[in-house]
Amino acid sequence: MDEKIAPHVDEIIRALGTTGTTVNQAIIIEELARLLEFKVPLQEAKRSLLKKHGNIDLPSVKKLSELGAGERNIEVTARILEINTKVVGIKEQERTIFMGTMVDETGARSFTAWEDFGLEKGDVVKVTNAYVRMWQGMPEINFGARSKVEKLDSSALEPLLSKDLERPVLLADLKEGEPSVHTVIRIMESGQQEINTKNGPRTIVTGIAIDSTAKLPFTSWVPSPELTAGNTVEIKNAYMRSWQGIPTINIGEFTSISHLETPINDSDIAGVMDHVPIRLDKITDRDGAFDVSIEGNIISVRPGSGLITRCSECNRVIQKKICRVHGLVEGRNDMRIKYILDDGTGALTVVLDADLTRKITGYSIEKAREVAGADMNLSAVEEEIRRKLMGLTMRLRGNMTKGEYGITLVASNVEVTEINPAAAATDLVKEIEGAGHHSPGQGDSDLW
Amino acid sequence: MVEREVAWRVFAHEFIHSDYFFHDGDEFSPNYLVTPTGARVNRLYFVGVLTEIDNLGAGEDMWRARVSDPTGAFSVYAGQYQPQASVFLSGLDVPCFVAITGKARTYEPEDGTIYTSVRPEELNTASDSIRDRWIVDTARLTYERIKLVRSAMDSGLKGDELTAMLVKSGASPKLANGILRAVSHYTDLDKYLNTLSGVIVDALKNLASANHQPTSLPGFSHSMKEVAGSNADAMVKETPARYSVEDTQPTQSPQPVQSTDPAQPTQSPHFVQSTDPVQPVQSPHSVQSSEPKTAKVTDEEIHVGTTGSEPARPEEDKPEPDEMVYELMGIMDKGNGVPVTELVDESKRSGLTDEHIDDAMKILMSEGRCYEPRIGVLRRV
Repeated sequence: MDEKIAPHVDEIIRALGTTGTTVNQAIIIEELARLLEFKVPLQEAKRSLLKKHGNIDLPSVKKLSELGAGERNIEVTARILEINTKVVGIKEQERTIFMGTMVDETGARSFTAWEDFGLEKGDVVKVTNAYVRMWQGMPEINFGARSKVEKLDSSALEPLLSKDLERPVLLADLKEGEPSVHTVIRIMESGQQEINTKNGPRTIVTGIAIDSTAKLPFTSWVPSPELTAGNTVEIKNAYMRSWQGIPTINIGEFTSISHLETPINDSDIAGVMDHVPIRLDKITDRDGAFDVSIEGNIISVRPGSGLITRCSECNRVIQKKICRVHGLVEGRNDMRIKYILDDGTGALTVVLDADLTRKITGYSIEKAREVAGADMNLSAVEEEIRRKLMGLTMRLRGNMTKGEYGITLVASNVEVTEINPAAAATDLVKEIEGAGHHSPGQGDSDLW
Repeated sequence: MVEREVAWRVFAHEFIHSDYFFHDGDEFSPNYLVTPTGARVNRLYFVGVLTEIDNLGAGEDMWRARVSDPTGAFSVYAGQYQPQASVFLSGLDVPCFVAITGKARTYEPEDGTIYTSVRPEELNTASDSIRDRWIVDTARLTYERIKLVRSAMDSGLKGDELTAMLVKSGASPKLANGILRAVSHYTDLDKYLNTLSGVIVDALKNLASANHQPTSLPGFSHSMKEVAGSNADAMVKETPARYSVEDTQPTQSPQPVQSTDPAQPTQSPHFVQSTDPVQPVQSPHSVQSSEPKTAKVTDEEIHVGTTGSEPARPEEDKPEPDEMVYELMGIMDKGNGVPVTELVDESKRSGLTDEHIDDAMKILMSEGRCYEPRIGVLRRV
């Protein structure tokens, strides 16, 4: 027998033995060698032999960040970060289930255990024969009676990671879909809102949180007196969900909110409050951003800018009076500009509505109609806008989202900014010469 | 979602000194030009002066344009697949300010040299303020890249460790990757970074002092410029043409900053008007509005100019040679530029030496105030 496959053959026979199946070693050797000859990966080959001879499904070992919807028979090793019990009614019977968050070196995921495995916060467990279900748009690990849960020594996972999670995360670093969020925020605005759910009306708290890096909206599904404007609170075990493309902090029944005596000061949040523009490479990393300020050049005005026609029924942009939902409609004129803003470090698409279009081009819808002329030459308007805007530096405020068409900022405000180039140049010269590393013309430049 | 390629800001000097082109993956993956400061340029955006436009013709519709910034010139080629760009370029009068977004291209003839050029995507005419802003923005971003490349070279780190260091210092992962590539590709990088810093500082100083010459009025007089100069920005005139590729040798001339003599009283714009009977209506606006600015610059320059070399005071009763040559160029131009030989003769008659004239022409060229529409002919921008 090939020495390389010997240990694997032994392993297969041993595994088959646990189910009471005995198989001739020669058959396993032959079949394994044959699969390998076909370049089937070793793990896959072993798996298929176990399935064939013993009807054993080997679980696939996964990291939490790799999990996708609908996966079955997986094995994960993770630390329980948070666990809570919940009583649910299943088939008219009350049952206690366990919900929480687990974490490995690749990330955190929420889980539901349908049986009592005696799990506690901090445990490191290996769960086999678990499966993945989508829950609130994120993969969630599920395990129940047919799964095996084995508690491991807590050193089985890097301790570093759990320590990282102890530290609050800044708002700018929060990612969409995070199941367990620990952060410190100041409440900027907050208010109660009545919404209708399938279980009847419910009161939620919505508002805006701020820290030194960003503003983000939050939604609390449970009332909390701490969530009052001006308070600084530490939030643990909240979760992130996107709402209209903007990452939103969700505060649920398992979230802890504690009032901090040392508040986030006005000076800490001054940059965010004053709308100091953020460099585009720093912001295009984020999954979305709420009420951010950016600045850059208009380097391209996109087609579809200028005078447009919308369906009078549904507001969709229409061509030639035909709406793809409502057929032939009268339509009404509107204005918008779509352009690429680029600051040399990043780029995104900006959308300006009719008011903002008017603000920077001076074109009202009526004026644009004049430019378009009697035959409604829309490209004339677009060309005119391109000529006016391309190259200008603009500062914008708005919400940034990511979607299949790329990164978009829908502007809530726009202004053309001008600087005094002489003063700016002087400042920069001072900075460069002050740094001392520079000496003009120094060195032999023949090589260049 | 495919992420849009960033439009990098690089000066022409750096762009034409880039010779490292690469692309990862299959034939559909984008190409990148890695510049000496690690910019990974697929797309770029620049604003400059269009100085030449030629139809390369020969059956094919191919336009070549030259766009100059304070450090050099970009070559722009628009062919049949850039119909809008071709139409736009063919309709322009040289010279004018243009803003261009485009893709970096290279051309490698057999001999191993690499020429970089730009294939335009979007073009527009621009203003001097857009151009000036671009210079400041590009200078800042380039300076930041220079600092990062220097820290990379000084760190002694390699690979992932270096990337991590650069990202921690504020580089985007793309820039960090570009810097790693630049550091291993370009030889004598330190020297080039020095040259580039010098070029940037010169461009900035020029900007700090200049009052947008290209918008100057037709009757711009000596004395006007002289006053503006002695107010604050005489320094430009002492600055040799250090941008040109050929002339990057150490300069012996005093630092431009020192040419402003702190002790020299600031002349008021009113003084100009009263002593210049020939040009009584010399756009007082431009002078007055420039006064606070230049005065401010003067203060700052005084702080900066502490290196102690001899202050080069501009001669008070005589305009700088380059201003005289510039002036003559304007007067003599009947619409098609001025032959250099005639310009030299005329300048000598005004008391300038060959050396003066030569320097003056170089300075004017490098400041982008004049250009050579044909060989042997100069014309004001």
